[in-house]
Amino acid sequence: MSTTLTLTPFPGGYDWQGVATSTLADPTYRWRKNGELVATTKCNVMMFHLDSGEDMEISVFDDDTVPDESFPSRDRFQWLHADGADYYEISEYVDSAWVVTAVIRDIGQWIFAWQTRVLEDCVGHQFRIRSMGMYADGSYKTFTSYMIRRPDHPQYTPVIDADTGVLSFV
Amino acid sequence: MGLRFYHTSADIRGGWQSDGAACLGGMRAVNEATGLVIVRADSAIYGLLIEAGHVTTSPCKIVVNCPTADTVQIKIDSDSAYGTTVTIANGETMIVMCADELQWLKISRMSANALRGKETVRIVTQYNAALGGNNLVTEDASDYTYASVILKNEGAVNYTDVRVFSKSAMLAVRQEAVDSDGDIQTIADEFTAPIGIDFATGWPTTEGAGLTINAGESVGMWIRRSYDSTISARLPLDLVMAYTVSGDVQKAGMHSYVARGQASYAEYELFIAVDPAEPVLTDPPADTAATLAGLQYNVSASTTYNYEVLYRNQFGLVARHWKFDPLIVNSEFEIAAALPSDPEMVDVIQRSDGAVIVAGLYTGAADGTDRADTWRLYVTYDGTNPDPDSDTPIDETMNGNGVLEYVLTAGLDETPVKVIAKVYRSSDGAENVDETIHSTTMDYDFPLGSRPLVTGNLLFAKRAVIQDVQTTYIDVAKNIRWEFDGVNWTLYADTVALFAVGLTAIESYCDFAHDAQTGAASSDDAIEVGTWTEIEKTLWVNVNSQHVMKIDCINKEISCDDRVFGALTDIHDRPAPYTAWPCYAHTVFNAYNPVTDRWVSIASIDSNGVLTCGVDWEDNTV
Repeated sequence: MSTTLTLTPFPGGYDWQGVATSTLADPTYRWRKNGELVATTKCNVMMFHLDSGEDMEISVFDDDTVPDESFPSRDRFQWLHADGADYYEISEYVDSAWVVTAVIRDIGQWIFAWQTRVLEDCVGHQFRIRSMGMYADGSYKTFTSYMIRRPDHPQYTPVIDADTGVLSFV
Repeated sequence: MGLRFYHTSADIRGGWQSDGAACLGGMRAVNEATGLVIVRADSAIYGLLIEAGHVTTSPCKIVVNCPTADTVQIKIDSDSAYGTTVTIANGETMIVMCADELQWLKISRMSANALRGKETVRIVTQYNAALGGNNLVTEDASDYTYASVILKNEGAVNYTDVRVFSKSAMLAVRQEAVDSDGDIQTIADEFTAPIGIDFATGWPTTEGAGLTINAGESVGMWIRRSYDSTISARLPLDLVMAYTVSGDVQKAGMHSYVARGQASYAEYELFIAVDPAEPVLTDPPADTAATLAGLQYNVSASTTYNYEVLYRNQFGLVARHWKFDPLIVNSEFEIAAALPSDPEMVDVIQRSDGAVIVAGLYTGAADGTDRADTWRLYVTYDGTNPDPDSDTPIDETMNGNGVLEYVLTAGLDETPVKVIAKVYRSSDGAENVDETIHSTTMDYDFPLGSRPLVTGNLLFAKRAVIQDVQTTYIDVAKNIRWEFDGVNWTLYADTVALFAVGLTAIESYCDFAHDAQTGAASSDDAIEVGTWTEIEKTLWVNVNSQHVMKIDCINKEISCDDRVFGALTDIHDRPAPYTAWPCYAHTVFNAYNPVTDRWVSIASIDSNGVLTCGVDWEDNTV
């Protein structure tokens, strides 16, 4: 009823291999990525891929244990259908200007969803979703998000002062 | 429940104001101060709007199912049973509960179309609800921030004894009566205290002293949040509301989270330990600094360390551990490059011609710019273990993809081969650590059932061009031999030539007799030495270990069942050359053509003793 998980990065840190062990004789593993069940397997090895800057919280259980809290690197927006909209224009506020980042076509769905790119840590982000089309009123909703997630792994190079023997980093 | 929490700071009364972090009083918004975010899949059930919900754990998945055109039921994803099935008409809003009635969704039906299908709804706790306000990043733990919501009785009955409890030390609440327009006061920003709100007194919580909110009435609620000293990306904030309606005492709750950060809390952390130990990330770091350049650590000369630098942000979240890098400090306090990483998938593979292939892969991804550039092989052929300290290696320049496929030239059959395959960096002469010995033997892949003509002599088994005149003895006494003169293989008994296998035919120096032979061979050899005395010298040509042809060397007579000329059709693609070998039901005589570098089958004798000459076949595998 207890599991261990060893995560090993492949070169570059974009791909990770997770190897789980269990105290059960014949365990079934439930793999969760950022809290979401992504696979139920008998195999104890799973590969995960991350985009640049993306973080994930991987947990694996041999029962229905609820996973630890996670801090996803992306936000996900939802909005309802707007009358007259043919499509929705999603913009991000970058350098004092709205930059269109996605266009979602309205083909009759009731609810729409869109996931952001990986957002920088400890920074506020603004997104705007605007209804567009011949009969759309062009109204928009603005979403403000302050991203709190695991910070990126720092990049560094060690240096040693030959006179003092002090290690530092650049 | 008729009592609902609404955001404030709407531009118009009942207008849209979805930002829970911007509830600064004033007019009531249409948006409810829900504490959870509901994420629906793209394949949402058409016509259902899921507005709010409550789960006991977050994040959580809820399965929404429509078993019939007008009903809906839900369950926690990991549960087996659904809760009560609810009938919902177009335009209705229903609270649909799981089997555990504390977990529910508020669902509205927005279409008259028949409901159908199933979807999974993910519920996660939301940041920045009205309770949470903005995330806190400050050095000052003494200030407060403020937010407000408006409670409105949307039901048809009155609520009495409405009380609000704070379950979090960070929160204090106090009511404010709404004016005739249903508004409350507005504050300039979240750091401005509302006037006349005595949080010290708090919301009336004494039994029987709660507020009364009649149907359609509203009351404002101010929330004061103190700075908790705890640094956390997720601090829980909870309010509980109790009320009496229709004589029943009820409770409801608001649940939210807030991130508490401190700018000075952000830091770089150095974890380091002397090799072979690795740092323990749960222990205090060896050094911390606000900037990467600020990290310092005294190292010792001629020492190897394992280290990693991590970054902790202002909310206490730490970069994910990747790996510990080696730090090799030499006697001059210079950083030496780490040894190249070990190659992978190293193996020694027998090839059918007796050669041995040494294979391996060096990715060197962990070595960065300090990659190895040469494969270095330590090989022995006498059964002893290779010794990198004393043996002379074979160096093979590494190709771009790091793949090794080095061929060790064939030697005698069963020769033991032991290999250590290492990688070598020519810039500083460093080799990787691993010295695993890989062993095999040289082996020739003889055809099934075949044997070399001369046991113990592998000349005929080699798939090689024979350029020099060869003499091969069949017997220990060296009375019987094959001689190759560059054109023909000639079988001699002492000094007597019996027959020659040439390029086009057998040239016999004997008489042929049609006399079927019988008897078991004494060995599996194609050519067997029978009686060998001064008066009787007999050779047997065997097929399938049976005597099928006798060569009387004294009388120079070859006896077999028959003699025909023709072409064989059942000689298969077999490694050559052998001057004779059993092939299924035949023993075939080959001759080497030095012009074409090919071996030609001249004649065969089958298990019935039928000798066939002029076989139209030549080996194409040389």
